[in-house]
Amino acid sequence: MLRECARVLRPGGLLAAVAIECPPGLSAADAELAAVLGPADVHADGALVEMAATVGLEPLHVVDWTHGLRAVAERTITALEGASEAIRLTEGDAVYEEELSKKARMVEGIDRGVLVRTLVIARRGRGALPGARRGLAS
Amino acid sequence: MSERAKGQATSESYAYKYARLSSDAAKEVRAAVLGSAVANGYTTVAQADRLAGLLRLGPGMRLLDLGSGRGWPGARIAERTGCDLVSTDLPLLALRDARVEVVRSEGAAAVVCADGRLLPFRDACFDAASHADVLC
Repeated sequence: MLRECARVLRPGGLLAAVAIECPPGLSAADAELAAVLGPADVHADGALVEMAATVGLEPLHVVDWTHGLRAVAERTITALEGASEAIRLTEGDAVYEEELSKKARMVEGIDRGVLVRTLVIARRGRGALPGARRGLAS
Repeated sequence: MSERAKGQATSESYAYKYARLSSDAAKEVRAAVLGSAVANGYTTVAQADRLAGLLRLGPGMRLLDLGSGRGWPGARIAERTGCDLVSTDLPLLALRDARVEVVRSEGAAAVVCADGRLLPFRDACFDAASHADVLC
């Protein structure tokens, strides 16, 4: 996906990419834990900022949004509990319980240091992109 | 698992995600937590506004929002900056909502059902791109 982003951006164009990922240097056991506690698509293939650089996107800003992620997860738990009757009625008990559990796991993953959320602002370089496929004809 | 099977599994999991939590009660929860009932994922209105500033967009410029779900955060960024917007994702349920959201901005807007790994756009045609919590 990042490679395709780089391809369709004009030279000098900017990408804002946000990802929930594992912090660098996690042990195999902690990476496994992150996959259990994090969202199903938690990014564990390497740091987002490094991946961007390999496809020709030059990182300009890297911002840690983990604190915001934790706040959103906690607020969601509170809001769900406050609206439990309506959510259970309209979405069903299973969905309600699943959402609560998902957000609680997210908070746990952050607190245990195995999940972070990162914002990367990167600029498409002006040269040819490494390994880019050809797009549709201009 | 093959790449194709992985893609299919991802697509199905997101289709499931948007089929649920679509009730008014769930929308109220999202509005209370993120600041907008349209928002999906973990990006708040305040964060979407910060992205709008960081991407240095303005009228006449074109933003690609990848994995936009219901049109978030691209629709908000377009609304704030006046840029043109193309929102892409796979689940049709989410794109149906996105189609309603993207027309709020003053710039031109389109919603495209597309896989982020093989985009149906020519090279170098966007001034900026955004994607939040979608990596594949």
